[in-house]
Amino acid sequence: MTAYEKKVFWIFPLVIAGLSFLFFQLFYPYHLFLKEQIRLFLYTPDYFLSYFNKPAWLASYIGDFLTQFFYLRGGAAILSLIFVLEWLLGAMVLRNLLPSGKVFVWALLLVIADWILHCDTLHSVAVSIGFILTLALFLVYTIASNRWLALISGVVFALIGYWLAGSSFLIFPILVLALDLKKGKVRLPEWLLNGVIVFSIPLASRHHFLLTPIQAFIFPAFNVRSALLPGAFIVALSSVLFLEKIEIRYSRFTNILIPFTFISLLIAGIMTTANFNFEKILSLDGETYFGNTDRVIGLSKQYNLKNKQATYFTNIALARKGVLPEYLLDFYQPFSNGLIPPVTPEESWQSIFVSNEVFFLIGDMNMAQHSAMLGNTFSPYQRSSRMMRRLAEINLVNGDSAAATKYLRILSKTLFHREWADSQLKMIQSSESNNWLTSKRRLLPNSDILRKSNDYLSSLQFLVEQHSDNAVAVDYLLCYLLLNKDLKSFRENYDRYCLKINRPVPKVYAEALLAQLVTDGASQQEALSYSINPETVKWFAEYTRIFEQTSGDINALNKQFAKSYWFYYHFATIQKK
Amino acid sequence: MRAYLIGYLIAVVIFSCSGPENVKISQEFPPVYPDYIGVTIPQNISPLNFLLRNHPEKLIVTIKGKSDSITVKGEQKIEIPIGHWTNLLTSSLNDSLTVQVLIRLNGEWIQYKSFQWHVKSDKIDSYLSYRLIEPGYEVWNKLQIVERNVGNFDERVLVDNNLTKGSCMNCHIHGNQNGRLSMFHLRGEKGGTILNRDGKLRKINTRGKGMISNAVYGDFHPGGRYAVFSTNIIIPELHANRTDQLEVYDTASDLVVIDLDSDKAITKPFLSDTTAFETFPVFSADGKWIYFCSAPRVVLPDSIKSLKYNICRVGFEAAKGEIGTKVDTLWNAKKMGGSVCHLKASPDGKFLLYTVADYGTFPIWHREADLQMMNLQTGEVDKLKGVNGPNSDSYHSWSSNSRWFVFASKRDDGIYGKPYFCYIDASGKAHKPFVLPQRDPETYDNMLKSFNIPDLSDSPVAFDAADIEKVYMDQEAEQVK
Repeated sequence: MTAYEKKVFWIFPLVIAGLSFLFFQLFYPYHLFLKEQIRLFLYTPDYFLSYFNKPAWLASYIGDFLTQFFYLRGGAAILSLIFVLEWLLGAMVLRNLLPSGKVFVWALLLVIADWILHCDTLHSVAVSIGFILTLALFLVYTIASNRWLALISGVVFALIGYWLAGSSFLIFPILVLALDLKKGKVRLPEWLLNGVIVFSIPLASRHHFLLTPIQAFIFPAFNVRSALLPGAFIVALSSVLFLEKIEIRYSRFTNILIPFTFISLLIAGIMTTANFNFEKILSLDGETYFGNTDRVIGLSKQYNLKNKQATYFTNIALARKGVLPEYLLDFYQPFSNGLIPPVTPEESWQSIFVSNEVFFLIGDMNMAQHSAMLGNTFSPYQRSSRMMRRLAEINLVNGDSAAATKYLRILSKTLFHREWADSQLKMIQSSESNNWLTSKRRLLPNSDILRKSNDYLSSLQFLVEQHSDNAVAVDYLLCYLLLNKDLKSFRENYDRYCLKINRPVPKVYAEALLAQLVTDGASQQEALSYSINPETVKWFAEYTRIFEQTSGDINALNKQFAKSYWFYYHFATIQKK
Repeated sequence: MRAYLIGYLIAVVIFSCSGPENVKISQEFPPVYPDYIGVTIPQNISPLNFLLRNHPEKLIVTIKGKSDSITVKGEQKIEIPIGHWTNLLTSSLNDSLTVQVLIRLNGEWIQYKSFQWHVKSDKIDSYLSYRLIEPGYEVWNKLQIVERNVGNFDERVLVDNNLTKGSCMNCHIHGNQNGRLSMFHLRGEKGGTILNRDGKLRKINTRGKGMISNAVYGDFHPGGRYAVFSTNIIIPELHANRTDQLEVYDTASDLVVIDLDSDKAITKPFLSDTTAFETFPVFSADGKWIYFCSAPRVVLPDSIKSLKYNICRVGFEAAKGEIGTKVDTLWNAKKMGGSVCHLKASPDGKFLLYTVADYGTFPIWHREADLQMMNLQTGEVDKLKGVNGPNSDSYHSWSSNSRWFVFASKRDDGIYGKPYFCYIDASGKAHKPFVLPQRDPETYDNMLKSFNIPDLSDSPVAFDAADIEKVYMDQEAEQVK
């Protein structure tokens, strides 16, 4: 190493590890949680063997093994470690190819590329591991001391590289060429042989691995953007090669320009790829999954997102606390789509993935199971630790111990869900129960109906008919009707289910009742029977006065009444895309 | 140091070679999974590898035949060597193998009550095809149709929808239990019914003029020229109670015969009117009859529990390509108190196998759905008590010698269907079924897909997933007239 390299060498891994850890831990952790949830890593022989059904088996197995650690709150450390390894190996490879003093700097391009890629939910650790394996294999190749050993090892690696590492291995012939150029001895036939083998194997093997042509050339990645990583290496290599003289001549200038460019690239890449809005939604989802209800509400207030999914999790949190009808309109409500989002082929896999939460909450176990099955089926890898857990819970509630055992047995073969699964299995075996199960089971329906999977109103009505003390279902039904502006049905159902409940009339219900009582021409005595807060009545009167005075001018009412049901009723409209 | 090491190694060898001591004799059968206790197996089946559910520390299994035996050791599961297994079966034809299970559990050796495997010389067809699909059915993502050699653990993917733009595929069947004649439906933009005749693949758009849908459930005529299909408008809905999940019913269904040589559709008005639902047609073994399920139309979904299908038959004249006019009822749903679907006639013409549920036409999600078998000569119905399990049993298919049939059963967990084989002896008696063996007996525990529509054939089909991709992408569909 040069003196410069010795001076700066130790700074790099610290900076890479530190900054990337801070970024993914503080600004992007929920993407990592989701990556673990859409995976199911099992410690069984047949699970290991299943990796041989596709190329990049080693990269995928190691990648998925590491991904399970995203379950932990400090899972970002895994990515930091990967980035440091990429940088180190990248620098070593560049060093082998070119005698530049700045290889450790140029190798940062790999970290930047992979960092940007990891901002995408579907970019897997397997792609990074595949790239690391490619670099490692090349370093082993460079050890070959003579021509024949190089030829043999080149052919062997060409044959097995794609099988081990996947699409990243496609840069191997380029590395071999670069090495030969450095040595001043390009043996074209040997290089061509290597190149032909490497580039033809994906196509030649794609039917064996059941991949389309594009998939064969990008596997284990999901999209072609993953080429950014090997692409970054080619850029680094080219830069070292072609800019070496400029670097030497204008070293002071380049010492500033290169880091500045890299930082700009990283920031630009993050800003264009990272979806911080989606990260916010994932934080609401994540905290819902973890059961941190108060945190969900706090985050929702902080974010103030006008987003159906954000509202979905907020409503779940409010309902869990029993305050849905109190604070419903303190948050953005896209009609009833924020209560029970439609699950249609047009929805994203992530929407389908979380759709079971509301059904599980309100006690519709069949809809919850249906949604969880769909969530698993449409998740990127069709095996999800989160869906396994939910399916186990649903069947525990249903008392279907055989089905619950199926899912629990699977989870008992994982690292982080094993303990919970084993405790549930023990409970089944001893026929025990617990308070949570007892309360959930109490609300199971006693009779049956048939309904379409998207007929949420029928589902809600059925649930509350079966158990009118299912307060969460009652609130969801009433809020569903209110958000769809069906005040007549709202009042009918309120009368049927809420008059018996001993609680102050929640704010949104009170506002809606007042509006409907006026429409129905109810008598004063009838109105009084609802025990609506007199302040709400005064407020209604004031709203009505201003509305009539201004002929329903939204601007006149917005400031004072934006969070009232009357304002929602008069002015909320669905915007069609 | 060296002496200590040698002494240690000797001790390890001695102690690991020492046999079980103070063995406790149990009067119970071992808790094996899958349930292979007392099953009847064909001579050409792959090894019945199993595991013990009580997680022993050591497991020793001895399988004794007339003149041979195997001892296999493991911890919680065993993998029987296939070569030795094959020899053992061959030397025990029409006899029984005795299986002794010895375990070490919490330091204690326990010998369980031994059980039998009854080996039959009647072979089962060597290939089993099935669709692997998540148990949602009305939606799909990744699907495959797979062909498995039942004599070993070799599996081959025949169709993978990753290569056909995510299209749905279903209802794969063989003609005469033979790999040279088969078909399945491939849906989607470039889809069609893929007909395989001696390895030559054709894509047929089976929705002819006036038909309510493309072909759905079907069967080949034994002559191979014709195929009979139902056409269905299928509606899925969800139950609300905890025991039932999905309900699927038809709002319309009709029957049609297609001449596969001329792509001509043949039907009769009474098989496509709106007063009744006709579905699940199959040809009789001699091709002279079409058996099908028929139910009078009811208002759906309100009267779903009144929707009950009979077994009917109508004549078919292959030489003229004509359907008869007289319909007989062989099984009266009202009288019998159930609803039938999935008819399958045995190749020897003796039996008709079908599924009975309380109502409806989609028994996969009906836990009470059971197989029944009608003797076509006497009309007697065998309720197959020793065959049916808890949860749904359905989607069966015969082996070419009519001695075996395979069916999909959800008996394990009520959700994931697995293929079970059942032996019918010469007197027509059904024996205890067993699940398709897997190399690793934990495979079923870890699987998140159902084995759907298991279908037997005596030979492999001549195409694979690459061929289907080509047909899907490049071949134009012939149009049924």
